[in-house]
Amino acid sequence: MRAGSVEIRVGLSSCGVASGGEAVRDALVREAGGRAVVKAVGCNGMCHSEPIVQVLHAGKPVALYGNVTAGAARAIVRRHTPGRGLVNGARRLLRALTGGEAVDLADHLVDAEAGPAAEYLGKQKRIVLENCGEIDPGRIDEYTARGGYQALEACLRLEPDAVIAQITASGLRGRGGAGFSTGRKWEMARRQPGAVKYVICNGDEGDPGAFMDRLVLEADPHRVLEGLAIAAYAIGAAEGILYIRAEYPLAVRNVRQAIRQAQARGFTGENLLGSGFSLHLEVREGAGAFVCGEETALIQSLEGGRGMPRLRPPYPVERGLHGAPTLINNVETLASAPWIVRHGPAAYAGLGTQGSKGTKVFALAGKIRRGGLIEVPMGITIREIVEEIGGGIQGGRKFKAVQMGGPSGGCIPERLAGTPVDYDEIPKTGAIMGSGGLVVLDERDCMVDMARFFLRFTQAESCGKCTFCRIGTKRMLEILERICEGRARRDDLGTLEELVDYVSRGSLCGLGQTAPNPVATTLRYFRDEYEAHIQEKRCPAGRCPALIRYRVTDQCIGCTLCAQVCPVGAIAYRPYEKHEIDDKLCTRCDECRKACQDDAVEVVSPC
Amino acid sequence: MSGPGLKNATIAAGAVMVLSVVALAVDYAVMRGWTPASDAQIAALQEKVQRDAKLAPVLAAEQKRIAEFNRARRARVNWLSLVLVGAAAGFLGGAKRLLAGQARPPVRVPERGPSAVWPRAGRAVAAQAAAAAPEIDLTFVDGLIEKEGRGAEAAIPILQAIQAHYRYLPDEALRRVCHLTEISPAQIAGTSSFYSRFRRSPVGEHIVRVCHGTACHVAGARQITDELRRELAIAEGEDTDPSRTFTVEEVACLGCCSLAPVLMVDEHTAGKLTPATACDALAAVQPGERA
Amino acid sequence: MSRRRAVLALLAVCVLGCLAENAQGQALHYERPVERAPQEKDIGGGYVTPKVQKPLPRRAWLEILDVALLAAAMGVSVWIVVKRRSRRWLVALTVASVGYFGFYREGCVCPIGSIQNVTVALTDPNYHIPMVVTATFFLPLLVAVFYGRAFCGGVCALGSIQELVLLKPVQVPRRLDQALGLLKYVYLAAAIWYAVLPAAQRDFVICRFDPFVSLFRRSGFAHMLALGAGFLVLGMFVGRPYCRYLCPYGGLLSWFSRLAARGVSITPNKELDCGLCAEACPYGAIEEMRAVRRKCLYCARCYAACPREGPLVKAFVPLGEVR
Repeated sequence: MRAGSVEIRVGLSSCGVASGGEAVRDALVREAGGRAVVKAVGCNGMCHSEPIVQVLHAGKPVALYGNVTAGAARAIVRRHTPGRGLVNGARRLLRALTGGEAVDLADHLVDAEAGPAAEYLGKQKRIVLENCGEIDPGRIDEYTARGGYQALEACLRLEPDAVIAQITASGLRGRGGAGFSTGRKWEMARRQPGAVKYVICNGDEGDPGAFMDRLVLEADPHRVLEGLAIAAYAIGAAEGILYIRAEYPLAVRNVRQAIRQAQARGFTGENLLGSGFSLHLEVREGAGAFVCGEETALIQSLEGGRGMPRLRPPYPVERGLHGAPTLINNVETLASAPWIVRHGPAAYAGLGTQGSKGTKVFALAGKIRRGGLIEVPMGITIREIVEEIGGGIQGGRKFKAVQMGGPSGGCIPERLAGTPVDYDEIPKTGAIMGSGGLVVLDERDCMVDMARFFLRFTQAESCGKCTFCRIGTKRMLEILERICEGRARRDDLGTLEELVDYVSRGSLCGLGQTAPNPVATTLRYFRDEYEAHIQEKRCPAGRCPALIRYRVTDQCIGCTLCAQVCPVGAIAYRPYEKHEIDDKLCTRCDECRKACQDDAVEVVSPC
Repeated sequence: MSGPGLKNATIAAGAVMVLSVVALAVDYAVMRGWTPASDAQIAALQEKVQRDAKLAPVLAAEQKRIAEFNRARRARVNWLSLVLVGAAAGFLGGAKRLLAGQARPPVRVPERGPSAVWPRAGRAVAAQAAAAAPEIDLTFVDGLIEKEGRGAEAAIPILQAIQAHYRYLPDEALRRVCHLTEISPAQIAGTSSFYSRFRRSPVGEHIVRVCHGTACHVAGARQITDELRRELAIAEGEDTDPSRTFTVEEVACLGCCSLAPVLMVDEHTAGKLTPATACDALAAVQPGERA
Repeated sequence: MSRRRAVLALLAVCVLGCLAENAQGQALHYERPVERAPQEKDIGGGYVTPKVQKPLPRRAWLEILDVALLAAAMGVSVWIVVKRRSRRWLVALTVASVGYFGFYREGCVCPIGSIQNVTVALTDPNYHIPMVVTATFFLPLLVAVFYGRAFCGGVCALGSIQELVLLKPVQVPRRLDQALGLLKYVYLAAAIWYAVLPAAQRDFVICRFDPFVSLFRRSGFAHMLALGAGFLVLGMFVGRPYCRYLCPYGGLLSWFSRLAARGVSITPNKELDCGLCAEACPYGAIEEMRAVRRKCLYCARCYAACPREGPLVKAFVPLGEVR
C-alpha cells in the first residue's frame, strides 16, 4: 500500500449483503471518489455486526466499524480522508450548512484492541480464516500476495509421499465431523491402484446451523482450490470436483471465478507450473439432500442417482466415483492443508490437544450476543467459546445448553460446558464434534421442541433405505409431537428410549445411526422437561404453543408496541391503556413479548 | 370543571369570541364609511378658514372632536380585542381539554390481505402464467443435452439446468430428456423426487426460501413462514399465493445463522426478521409495489 | 467538532461585520418631506400646525432588558426541554412569551425582521444598525448551533401564538410538507433582495407582511389583520403554518440547528419506538422515531405523548392540548 493512501474494506459475503452491505459499498465508493480504494472483501467472521467496514491507513492501526449504514459510511470516508487545500475547506463548510444530521461514528467504531471485539478476536487463532475479510475473493493477486499458492509450488517440488507425511505429521483430522485422520486417508487413496482417481471437496454443508464452508468458499475460494490441488497431487488424481450446496449461490459464483483465474495462472489445468502434473476442476451444485454429505451418498448423487448411502467397505478411497478410488475431504480440511505445508506440520501440531491438533472453525449462532464464524485452537472449553468469545447470552438470560453437531449431534447442558473441544472429549457427552455448528440455547428454548425439530429434519431427510431409520424416526417424531401438544401417553417416554436404541443400531449410514442423538441427549440431561410436558401439561421454557398462553400484566404502560407487531391483530391499538390479548386470535408467535420493553407480557403455562 | 360544565363554558367562550369578532368587524365597517367623511369635513373647513379667519376656532374644535372620537374608538377596539383574546384563550383551552378527554376510537391496525399487498403485480403475473402455461419451448432441452451429454450421470446437472430455465421441471421437458438420453423415466422420477431443490409444479414469479435451520428455528422461523403464508393468503397445502407472485418454501439452512431468522427472495437474502418485517423483505424484489 | 467551529467562526465574522459598520456608520439625515400639505401661512388665521409627534425612543436600558429577556427565555426553553422535560412548563413559557414579546412589546423584539437590518448593515456602509438588533439576530442562531431551535419553541412571539391555537393537528403529507418547506427559502431570498436594493427602493418585506404583528398591536391594515386571523384559524388544524412554510428565519435556524449536539431527545435510553410521539408531533419532526433537529420546534409535545411519562389523561395542561 502506498504511503498515505487509504484502503477501505467492506465485507460483502452473503451475511454482509443480507445486512445491507451493498448500499454501504455504493455509499463508500461515491463518497471516496479517488481519495481512497474501496475493496469488497469476504466476511471477517464478525457476522453479529455486519455490515463491517475496515479502514487501513499506512502506518496507523486498522479502524474497524460495525453495523455501518450508508450515512455512517459517508462519515467514515470523511473522517479518514482529510481534505487538503482551500477547495476542500470550502466544501466542508458548505456541507456543514447543507449536509444531513451528523452521524456519531463512535456508535459504529469497534475497538479491535480492547473491549468486546478484542474478546471476540483475542481467543481465536486464524488458520483457515486467515484471509477472510482481508482479501477480495475475486482477485487472485491478493491471494498470492499473502503467500497463496506457495504451498502448492512447494508440494509440486516434493514427492507425493513427502506431502502426505507432512499432513500426517500435522495430526490434521477430517473436519466434516467424523474426525478421521486426513493423512491416513490420503495415504490409503495413494496406495490404491488405478490410473483414474478423483478428489472431491465436500461443500454440501447440510447441517442446519452451520456455515463454515459457505464463508470460506465465499471469502477465500483460492485457499480451497490450493488445498484441493495439493490433495490431488498427493494421491495422484487428475480430476477434482467441488460439490457445493445450491443454497450458496455466491459461493458457487466465487469458486467458479477462482477456478478460471487459477487456470489462467497455471495453478490448475494441464501441466501445473511445469511439473507435468495435471488437474481438472469442476463445480457441481448439490440438489438439496442432507444425506449427500455422507460420502457414499454424495458419490451416488454425482453419478446421477438418488443420493442413497451404500454399505461400507469398500470405502470410497477404494471404490468411489465411477468405481475409481476417490478422496473426499471437507472444505475446512482442504483449506487447512496449504497452511500446514507453508508453516510446517510442527506448527500445526503445536496447537490443540493430545488427540486433536490444530484449530477448528465454529459457526457460533443462536441466543449468543456475538455470533459469527470463529476459529479456535482445539482444547478450548465450550464455556470459553460461549462466554468469552460470544459474550454470553443475549438479553442477560441464562445459558442453558449448546447444540453441537446439528441433527447428528446433541445438546450439551450448561453444567458440562467445561468440556474441551476435542474429538475424543465431546462424544463422551453424547453429542459429536460435527462439522462445526454451535447453536447456543437459553432458558427460553424448550429441549423437547429442539429434539422434535431435529427429528422432523432427519425424518424428512432420511433416504428411506433402512427400515429403522425410515419408520423409527417417524414414530419418534410422532411421540415428540404428542408430547409438545400435551397429548402424550404415560408409556411414551419408554417407547422413545427403546426407539433411540433401535434406530441407532439398525441403520446403515451416519444419518440414521446418529439421528436419535438429539433425543438421547435431551432425555439424558433434561428429562424433567419431558416429564413436565407429559404429566403437568406444562412447557417450562414457555415455548410449545399448545401448552402456553400469553397475558398482559399490570406493568403495561399502554405504548401499543405489542399491538403494532401482532401479526394477527389480536391486540387492539389503544394507546395509554392496558392492552389485552385476544386468546382466540393469538398464534403464540411471541412477538408481543419480544416487543414489550417493560416485560409486561408474560407466558402462562400450563394454561 | 369537567363534563357538561366545561362544554358549556367552552361554547360560551366561543360565542363571546365570535361576538367580539363580529363587533370588531362592524366597528371597522362603520368607521370605514365615517373616516373619509370627516377628512372631507376638515378639508372643507380649512378652505373656509382661508377665506374667513374667524372660523379658525371652529376648525380647531372640530379637529379636537375628531381626535377625541378616534381616541375613543381606539380604546373601544382595544377592549374588544382584549375580550377577544381572553375568549379565544378560554375557548381553545376548553376545546383542547374536551378533545383530549374524549376516549379516542380504537384505531384498528389496518386490515392486511393479499389484495391490499400485491394488487397489480398479482393480476399481471396471473395473466402471464395463464398465457405461458400451455406452451413450453423444448429447444432449450435439446441444446442442454448436446452440452451435458447423454449419460446417466448427467441426470442431476440436466435437471438443475431445466429447473433453472423453466423454474420447475415440466413433464414435457422430462419426457424429452428420457427420449433423448440414456436416463430412464424411473431414474428421473427417483431423482427428481429425492432432492428437495427439484419441484414438479410451476412456481410463482418469485421464490421465497425461509430458512428453517437450528438458529432460525430458535429465533422464530416458524412464525416467519406462518406470517408470510397468512399475508400472501396461501391456502393450506399450497405453496404459492393465488396471484402466483410468490412461492414460499422452507429450506434446511441458508447459512446466515448469525442473522437468524433469515429468508431468501430469489437471490436476495434478508436477515434479522420479525413477522412484521418479513413481508417488507419481499418488497426488495418488487420495490414500490407495497401499499 | 470542526463543522461547528467553522460555523461559529462564520457567525463571529458576521457580528464583527455589523459592529464595524456601526463604527463608521452614521444616523441618516432625515427631514420631513412634506411640501404639498397646506402650511400655516397658507391657512393663515393664526392656525398653528400641531408639532410632529414621534414616538419616544425606548429607553436604552429597556432595550437591553429586552435582549436579556430574549436570552433568558431561550435559556429557560433549553432548560425545560433538555433538563426539565416538561410540556407543561413549556406551555407556561409560551404563554409568557406571547404576553411579553407579543402583546406587550408588540412583536418588536424580532430576529425574523432583523435579517433585513443585518443584511443592510453588511451591504450598505451608510446604514446604522443598533447593537440590540445585532444581538437579537445572532443570539438565536448561536443557541441553534448548540441546542437546536430553542428560539422557535416558547420564545418567538409569532411561533408561540400559533403554538397556542393548535387544536387538532392533521399530519401534512411528507412530500407536500417538503415542497411547502421550500417556500421559506424563496421568501428569505426575496427579503434579502429587497433589503440590498439602494436605500430609495429598499423595502423590508418581512415586516411589511408579518401576519401577526397587527394582531399584537390590535390595529393595522384590514387585509393584514385578516391574514393574521387566517393563519391562526389554519393553525388550529395545521401545526404552525407560518413557521414551517414561510418564516425566513426558520430557514436559517434549521440550517444552523443541524450542528446541534443536544436538543429534543425522546426518552433517551428508554426509547420504546412505539411511534406515539411521532403521531403526537404536529410538525412532522420525528422521523424514524427520532427527533430531527432541523425540524423540531421545541414544543415538547413528544414528552407529553410518551407512555413512559405516565398516564396522560390525568395531566392538566393549561392552554395546551394534552396530545
